[in-house]
Amino acid sequence: MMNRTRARLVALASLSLAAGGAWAQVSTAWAKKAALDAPDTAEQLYEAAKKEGKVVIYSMSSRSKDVKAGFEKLYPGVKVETYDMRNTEIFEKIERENAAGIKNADVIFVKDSDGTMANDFYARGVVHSYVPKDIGAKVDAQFKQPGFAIYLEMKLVFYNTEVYDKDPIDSWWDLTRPEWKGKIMLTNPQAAIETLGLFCSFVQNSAEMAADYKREFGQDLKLSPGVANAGYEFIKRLAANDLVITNSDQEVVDAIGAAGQKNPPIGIATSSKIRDKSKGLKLGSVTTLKPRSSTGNPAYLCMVEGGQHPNAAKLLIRYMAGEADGKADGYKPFDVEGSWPTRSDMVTKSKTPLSEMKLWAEDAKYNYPNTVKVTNFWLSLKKK
Amino acid sequence: MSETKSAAAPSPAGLGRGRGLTKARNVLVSLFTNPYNVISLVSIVVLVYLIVVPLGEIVGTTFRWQPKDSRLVEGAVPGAFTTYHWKAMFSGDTARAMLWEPLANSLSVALCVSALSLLLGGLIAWLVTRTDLPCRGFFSFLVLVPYMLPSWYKALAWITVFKNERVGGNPGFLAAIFGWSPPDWLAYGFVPTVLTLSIHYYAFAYLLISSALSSIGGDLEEMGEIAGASRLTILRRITFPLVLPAVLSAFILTFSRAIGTFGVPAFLGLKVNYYTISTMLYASVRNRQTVQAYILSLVLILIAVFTVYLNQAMIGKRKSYTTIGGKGTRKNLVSLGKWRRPILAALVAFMVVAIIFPVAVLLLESFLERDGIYRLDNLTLHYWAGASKPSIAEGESGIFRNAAIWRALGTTMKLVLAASVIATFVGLVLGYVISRGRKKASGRLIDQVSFLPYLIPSIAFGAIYLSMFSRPRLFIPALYGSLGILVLISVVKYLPFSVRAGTSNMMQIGTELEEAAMVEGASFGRRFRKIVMPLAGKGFLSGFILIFISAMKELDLIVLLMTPATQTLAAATYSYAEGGYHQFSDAVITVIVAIIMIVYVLAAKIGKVDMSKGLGG
Repeated sequence: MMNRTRARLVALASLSLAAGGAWAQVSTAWAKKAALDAPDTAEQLYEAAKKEGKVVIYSMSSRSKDVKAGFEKLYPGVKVETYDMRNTEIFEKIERENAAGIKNADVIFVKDSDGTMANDFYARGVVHSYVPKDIGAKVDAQFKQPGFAIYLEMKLVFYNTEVYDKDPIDSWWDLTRPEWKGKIMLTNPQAAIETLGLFCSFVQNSAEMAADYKREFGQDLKLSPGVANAGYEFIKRLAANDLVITNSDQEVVDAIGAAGQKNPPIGIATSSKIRDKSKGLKLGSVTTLKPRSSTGNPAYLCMVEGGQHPNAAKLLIRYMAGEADGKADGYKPFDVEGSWPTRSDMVTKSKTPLSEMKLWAEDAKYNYPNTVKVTNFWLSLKKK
Repeated sequence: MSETKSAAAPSPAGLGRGRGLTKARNVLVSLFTNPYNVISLVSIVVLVYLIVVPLGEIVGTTFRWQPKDSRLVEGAVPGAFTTYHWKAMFSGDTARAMLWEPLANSLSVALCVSALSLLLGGLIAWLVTRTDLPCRGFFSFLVLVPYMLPSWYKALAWITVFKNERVGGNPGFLAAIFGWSPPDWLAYGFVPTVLTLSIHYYAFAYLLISSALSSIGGDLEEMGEIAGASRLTILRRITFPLVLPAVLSAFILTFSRAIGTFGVPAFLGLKVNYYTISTMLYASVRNRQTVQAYILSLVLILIAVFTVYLNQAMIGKRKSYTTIGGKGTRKNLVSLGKWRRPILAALVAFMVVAIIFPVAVLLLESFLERDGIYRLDNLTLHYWAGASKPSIAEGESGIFRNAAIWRALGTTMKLVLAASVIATFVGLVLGYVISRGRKKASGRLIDQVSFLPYLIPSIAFGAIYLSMFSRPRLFIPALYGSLGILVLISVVKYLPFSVRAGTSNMMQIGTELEEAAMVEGASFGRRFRKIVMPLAGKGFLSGFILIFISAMKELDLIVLLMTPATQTLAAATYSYAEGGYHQFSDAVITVIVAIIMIVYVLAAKIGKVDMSKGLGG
């Protein structure tokens, strides 16, 4: 009895918190000392950072190591240690290191497609948001909540441009057609939270999915027994199409884009992988898929509770965001086709501007419980 | 000390009552001052703390609501008792995908690997010990080499060769050279997993059966021959029954290892959605589904316990028959006759396929700028020594110029040396306690507890230690993210081997020397240092080398525990391969293989270490 009442209270409390809108951010003693609200300048930070000597970043993007050389040249005396990990692995490590009181990471560079950061890490003070005051003025509010996002990317459908001279599909539902059986590549959704987030968007916007099915096939979608809505039905039919599951998006685009293939696969990968065209891969991506092309995934830079190099961390975040004028080399590795900067004074290298992309918004509140449900649903499906 | 004195000199008054009391006191005092007892006591407490307590905590956790459960289940109060997780795992929507299918896969892989390994190992053992095959000494050295190398490197080689159209991109070796795209069942999943693991684990069967075969005197077979039995009958009615216990042992041993193996199914299974319990366990931990991971760990442990129980029940304490007789006659080697050359050729071919070919394929691939294109103009040294080039592999520089790889090499060497020195020394001390306390309960208890890690498959052990030592515990600070946790888990996991080696080492050292020293008044520490240690030197070395090699190739045990700062070479290989950077993983594994081979050859040639003595992970 007591337990149930307590549980209800807890549920109620978290509900009102969610309804409040703003993400709960805990200010710890460390955060106060690090003065995350201070109007820092790069010069001040550099002076303090020299005493700290280095900064450690856990990054979901392998491109962070390209930041290192430029940063160390611009700020001699401050070394950058980058660790390239999967997003879920960064979450796991940050959580464990926090519990163990290990102060290793200063900055994490992550996406939050399953809402762990917004709902859990911020609320418990495991990580903190840091938006440089001068740069923040040029960034839309939606990219400063719950953390500071420097750019946006998304999962898109890729194809081989040697074989297909135009987009081979125009609707997500095309992926459930038999002609693509055994020819769709996908990073294992269990390990890729952006894919899970996209699946969540299908479920959250199931009415749009159902309408698009009718547009595509000219008849109403019939749900399989026990399937809740059109979003889940799409996931079920996609899984039934003998997907080729990989460990990483790199494998997906390498396989799709290799030159000289007669029967290449298509697949779902992060939009910025289109940059691998410069490595000789024959890649194209579909940016006008119906009902919407994808879900935008902001890439957040956050400070880690207890980090030993807070000034160097702030300096690195500024640098990766392009510094005050937006021209610093720190943003260069991310300034590629398939990536949309959040700063109003930067221009994307992508062919389609963000305003013309039809996208779902990543909903951290919805995704936090629903990625678990979608994962379980995914696991319960018979593949092939 | 003063207490001991007063106890030793009771007052004349009250002698009767005092004598009983004094005796009890003496027993008590000697219980806590006798070095043997102190070591026993400390050993038992530490072993229980490091092995039994973690197991108990894991079981407890699976029966409690976790903070994250409130995301999915309404009314879940963190910490309260529940059977939800077990029910969901065994009969929920995800039960088939998370438990039953992986379980069926693990069992079928383990069964097939055991059967195939037995066939391979048994056949080679017979050829090498009982026939007139040429170069038998050379083969008996070579035959263990595949086992010395990581099992998953054969899986990497397999993919490189058999990669087919399914995954698109650059072709595999067969497709590139012969234009033949192998079918899915041959390229990924069950078949290659079984084959690569069998080429690895046949060493168990070979070792056990060949030692059983060589312990049988030739006389029994000779008698059969005199009585007019055909060669086949002798084999069937005499030789085979004599080695049967070894055969069963080998089967069970292989089964209990193969059931929990992670690296090979991880590399070969995912592309076709083929999961085993171990790979599902890994995925669960990575997705922070901790409780599911624990339940999978417990399932693996239960299977391992059951197989070992089965082993005990079927074979009992006798691991092999000893034939009693006079001085054994010189064995009559079976003449292979006209089959001698074809069999020799087949064996050589097998060795080439099992040892040289995988190394060669991976080495070759590491020199290809684009994998799968076997042309001269595609050759490069970039992946070994090239500077960072943005157009290749996201600007990752060649391994010899890569600070992360050098750091991983340093970590690996520190880990491997620390783990093998500590494990061997602990094994020696525990072995001493066990050998001197064979008739005491404490000795038997230590023997049994130190065997427990054998029953916990490596990946499950990693999952357990991950949660145990991620936060500060009694006397132990939070070890997560430190080299300490890797050393600790390696020492504990290799305990069954180091303790067994230590015990047999100590058994050979008689107690007389120690007793003599005791009479002379040498302290326990001095006796151990001056007498036991020098005599145990040789055994120390072979135990050390064995654990060194096991730790060097270890992936399953530490894959969950390491952090970026404590990455080892094996782990670097894994993350390169996982990220699709094949040439880098090829180059790193080549380094690992080279180090192991150098140590193996040096140990065998210079140290005269007999590697067949122990069976590491």
